[in-house]
This record gives sequence, C-alpha cells and structure tokens, in this order.
Amino acid sequence: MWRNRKRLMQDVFKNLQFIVVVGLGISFCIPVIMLLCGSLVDEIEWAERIGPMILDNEQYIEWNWIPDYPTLVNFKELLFFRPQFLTLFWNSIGMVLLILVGQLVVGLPGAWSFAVYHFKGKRILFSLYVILMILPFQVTMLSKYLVLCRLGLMNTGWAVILPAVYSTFPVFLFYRGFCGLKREILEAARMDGASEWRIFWEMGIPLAKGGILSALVLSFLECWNMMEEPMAFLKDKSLWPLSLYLPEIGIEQAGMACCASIITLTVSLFIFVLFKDYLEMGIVSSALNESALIKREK
Amino acid sequence: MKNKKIMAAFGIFLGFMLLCTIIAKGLYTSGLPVVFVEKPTSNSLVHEVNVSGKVKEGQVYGVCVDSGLRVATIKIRKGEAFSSGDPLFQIDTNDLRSIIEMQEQKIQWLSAQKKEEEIGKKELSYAKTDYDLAVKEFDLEILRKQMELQEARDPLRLYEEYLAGTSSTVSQGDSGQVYNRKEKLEQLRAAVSRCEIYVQEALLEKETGLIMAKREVEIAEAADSETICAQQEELLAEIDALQKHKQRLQELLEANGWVYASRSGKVTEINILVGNRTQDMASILYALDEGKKIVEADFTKEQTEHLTPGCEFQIKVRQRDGSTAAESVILSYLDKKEGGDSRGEFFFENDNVALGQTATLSFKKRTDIYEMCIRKEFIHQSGVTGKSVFVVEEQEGILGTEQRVRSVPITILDENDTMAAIESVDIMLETRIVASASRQLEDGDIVRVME
Repeated sequence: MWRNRKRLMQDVFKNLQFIVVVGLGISFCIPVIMLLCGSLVDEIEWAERIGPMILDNEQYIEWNWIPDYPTLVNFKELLFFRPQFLTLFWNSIGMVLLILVGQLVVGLPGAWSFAVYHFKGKRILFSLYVILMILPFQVTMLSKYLVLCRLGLMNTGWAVILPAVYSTFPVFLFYRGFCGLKREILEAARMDGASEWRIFWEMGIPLAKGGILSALVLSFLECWNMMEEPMAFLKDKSLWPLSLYLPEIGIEQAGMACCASIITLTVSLFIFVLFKDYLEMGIVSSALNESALIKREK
Repeated sequence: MKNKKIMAAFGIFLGFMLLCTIIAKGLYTSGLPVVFVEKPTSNSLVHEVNVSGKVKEGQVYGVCVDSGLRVATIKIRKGEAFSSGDPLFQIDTNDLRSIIEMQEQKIQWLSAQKKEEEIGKKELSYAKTDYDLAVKEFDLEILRKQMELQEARDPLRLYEEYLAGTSSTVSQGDSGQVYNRKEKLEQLRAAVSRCEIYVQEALLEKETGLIMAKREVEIAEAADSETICAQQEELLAEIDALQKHKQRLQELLEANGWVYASRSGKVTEINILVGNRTQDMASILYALDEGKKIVEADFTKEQTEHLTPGCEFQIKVRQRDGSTAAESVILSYLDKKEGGDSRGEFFFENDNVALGQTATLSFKKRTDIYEMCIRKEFIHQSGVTGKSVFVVEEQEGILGTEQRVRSVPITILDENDTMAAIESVDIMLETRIVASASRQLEDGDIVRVME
C-alpha cells in the first residue's frame, strides 16, 4: 500500500511537473501566439482593442485570442503593397549570408589554429578573444566607427558585414567544435602525409560539422536580429536590414506590425528547425568537451 | 528526408517572398503618378491685348426744336442713316396751334405792359419840365424884385448925394424944407427896404416853390426811369423772342409739324418719345459719316494693367469698299471703371470706314527680363488666395533614391495668358517644377519623373 501510494505520488508529481513545464512552455509561446492572432486582425478591430492605450484614457485594453473578424488583409498589404518591407527582407538575407560566409572564411581557420596548434601567446590571444566576445556593442561602437570612417566604409553594407565577419563569438564556437576532435586522428593523418590544409579541410571541418553549424545558426540568429550596428553605421534607409523596419511601423498599424514580425520570425524558425539537431549536438558536444578539457588540464 | 522537406519549404518560402517582392515593386511603381517636369527660365513676358472695338462718331450734332412740343411721330431709329431733307419726326399740329395761340396772347399782354411803362415815363418828363419852369419863374420873379430894389436904391443914392451936396446951403430958418427932405429920404429908404423885403420874399418863395416841384419830380422818379428803361428793354426782348418763337412754330405748322434733316448723317441718339413733349435738349443726335471718328473698345481688368494712354495699337477694319484697312492708332483716352475694367478711345482718321463698323485692335508689350518664368498651367491654387507649384525633390528612402513632390508657395510678379513670372524662396533655376501629372498630386507624394 505504501508502495502504491509512493507510485501515485510519483505519478502526480510527474504529471504536475509536466503541467508546469507545459504551462511554462505555453507561456513562453504566448507572445508568438499573440503575434499570430494580431496579424489576422484588421485596423478597426485593433482600434477597438488597443484604443484605450492610444487614447490614454485610463481604461484597459481588450484582447481576444480568436479575432472577431479574422482577415488576411494585413498579409496582403504587407506582401503586395509594401515593397519597402520586402526590400529590407532581402537586405537582411544578403547581409546575413555574407556575414556567415565571411565568418566561415575568417573564423574557421582562426578557430582551427587555436584548437589544434600551440604557439606562443596563444592563451593571451584567446583570452583577448574571449574578452572581446563579452564586450557589449556600446563599448566597441566608437572604435568601430572610427575605423570604418577611416576606411571610408561608413553608410555602406560593409560597415555592418565586416565587423560581424570578424566577430569573435563564432570563432569561440568553432573552436569549441574543433576541440572535440580526437588528436590521434589528426596525428594519424599527419603521419599518413596529409598536409595541414588537407587535414583542416577534409577532416577537421567535416568532423566538427555539428559545432560549425550550431555556431552558424547562433550567428544567423544574432545577425538576423541585429539593430545597433545598422542603426549606428547605416544612414541610408535602403541599406537597412529588416530589424530596423519594424520600429518604423506605427501603433496605428499594429496588425501590419504583427504580420511583419511573423514573417521575420518565419525565417528564423526555418533555420532553427533545419539545424536544431546540429544545435543540440553542438551544445551537447561543447559541454562534453568542456568536461574533457577540464580533465585534461587537471 | 525530413530536413529535405524543410529545406524545400524554406526554398518555397523564399521563392514566394521573391515573387511578392516583384509583385509589390511592380504594383508600387505602377501606382506612382508619372510627372513631367520643367525648369524655370529667365525670360521676358509678352503682354498681348486683342480686343474688338467699334467705330463711333467723334463729333455729334443735334437736331433741336423748341421744348414743350408734343411729338406725334418719330420716323427714324437709332443707328439709321438719313439724307438731307429727310423727315425725322413730327410734332402734333393741334397742340402746336394751341401753343401758337398762347404765344400770341402772351405777346399782346406784354405789349400792353410795355405801354403802361411808357406812360409812366412821360409823367416823369412832365414833372421835370414843371420843375424847370418853376425854377425859371421864381428866378424871374427874384430878378424883377431885384430890379425893383435897384430902382429903389438908385433914387435913394441920388437923393442922398443931393442931400449931401445941398446940406450946407440949407441953413436955419427953412425947417419946412429940411423936414420935407427928411421925409422923402425916409420914404426912399422905406421903398428900398420894401424892395429888399420883396426880394427876400421872392427868394423864399423860390425855395418853397422848388421844394414842391422837386417833390413832384421825385414822385415821378419813384418809378425809376432806369428800371423802367430796363424793364422796357426786357419786355421788348421778350416780345421779340416770343415773336420769333411764334414764327418758328408757325413755320413748323406750315410744314405740317414735320422736322426735316438739314444734312445727311447717322442717328446716334434719340431723346424724344412719341406722345411726350420735347425737352430742352437736342431731340435727335447724329453724326456725319464724313466727320471725325473714334474707335471705342472695352478692356478687362487684366488687360487694363498693361495699358496707358499713348500705347500704339494695330487696327484692322473693313472699309466701305470691302477691303480691310490695317494701320496704327494711338490710345488717346482710357476711362477706368470700378472693378478695374476700362474703356479706351482711339482717334481714327479713315473716312472710308462706316460708323458702327467693328474693328480688331491688337497690342503687344514686352516686359523686362524676369529671373524665373514658368507656364501658367504649372501653378495651383493654394488656400483662398495663395498660389503654389509642386517641385520635385530627391530623397533617400528604403527603396533607394525616390522623387518626392512638395508644394511650394509662390508669388506671381507678372503674367500673361500663357506664362507667369514667379518669385519664391525655395525655387531656383535648377529646381524641377511639375508640369503635368498623371493624377492629382498631394504634398509628399512619391512620383516617377519623366524629363
């Protein structure tokens, strides 16, 4: 009887856990659900809902999860009558692609050298990388501004792309991925006469694919949503990414703002769904590598 | 496999976004109004004034008849031409007869009045004559008395001289002789005294007698001979005028009341009405075909702004023989009216043109060069009284360099039918001004520019 009771308690606890976790999960999703619902609401219904907030008359706003008059007019308006939104969408796509490619070209060799080779000042340099990685944008903004001005790159796309390409965060993540590779495999390849480039290109990258992809996913998400750099370095609105368009939409067009947010979110969602396995793998492998590294050092 | 499906879906999503981009850009671009632009130019404005005018009489003559006559018939119309001897209008003969009778009575009455005044004049002359006679009588009487006095004084003087000579020889003892001499002397002296008294009396009589006569004269003069003369003259003149008036009326009656034209002309004004009496003015106004002519034309307020007396116009007018005369005329007079319109007059010395003929007048005036001139169709009404134009400006937007229109207020310095000289702080010679648009523009619209 005591066992049954214990089992019952365990089942209840498990279910309770499940409910709490699911509830929490749903609550985390509430903003996205609100966006989705809001994108299906037209202007008139929006005015009725958030009118008290706009008029500032100390009344409460009303929110219906299911719209009274659902409509796709916001999507129609945004996708077919707002070329500005679509222009910035492709600006973001282009910028992010170039950044990711740049990070691959620049960051991978750097991370490989940190992970595989031992050279004088490696610790100090890597520490510097880590420090740079944790510095917020506001700290490095001025130095970046001065360098970009001197290079004549202000108010061009390269003002956003180049600093992101030379970002230290992906290097760190790539490094973590390369650290997971077994040294013996690399040594074996060296002994077989493979060149360093061949080892890097044909062994290092494929083996660290998980870490690389997870780094790229995180990088993508970071670059897709970046706001400070474009705001600081891009004066021409035609060069802006999508993240700067959303603040341009006023509260009077809340439906369209929700719609734009949904579409912006869709790309991130696709990337996440495509590469979530690698992301999980990358996170897990970095945790394992961390413990292995610690053990090795000990 | 699953990843492939997701990749495919992502690819479709991106493809869809690309398609939406193309469609959205196409719709956006096709929805933009297309504008044609022009830049302002430095130019002068030509003001052309083209009006139609009418040839009118430069000099007007009148057909006058006495006032107060009732009009029976009017045979001519305004604008009608007539020849010398043509009947113009007829006076009512019955009424004319009664007027003549009244004239006659009046003449008679005035004549009687004149006679009365002549009598009054005679009385005055009689009184004066009497006065003169009286003066003469009294003077005569005074003279007589003075002569008597003298006659009385002479013996006395002689006797006194005699007594003075004989007084020494008469001595004492002849007292009777002395007494007689004294008595005679006294008598002579008394006679002289009497005569002196008579003279004084005569003088006094003259004085009093003349006062009376003078009064008579004054009474006669109370009628004031000069006034009588003046009134006499007036009466004479009035009688004379009445007789002449009567003469004219009789002549008119002999002509059965008809008034004929003394020369050829064209009627410009008729100041009489059938059944009404003639006024104290010309009954008919007419102009001679061969007389002085003017061309009269009306100008609008906008045209008047560019005109001053002395402007040279080109005139085209059809002549009597059918040909068209083209010559220059000078604006001699400009009568400005309330509201800004005006009427101009040109002296015209062409005898071959008939009165009432329409003439075409044209005038061109070129102004100084204005810094900025645009065509008038570029200008729009802004508010109640303001004027504005749309200018195209470049602006950087999300879709790149865009052309945006902005409404700019302007001041019009001068304008003619097609062009306007403008002034504005925001407009330079390089500014692109919207000449025409495919649809109504609003301030801030994005447009496509066709140069």
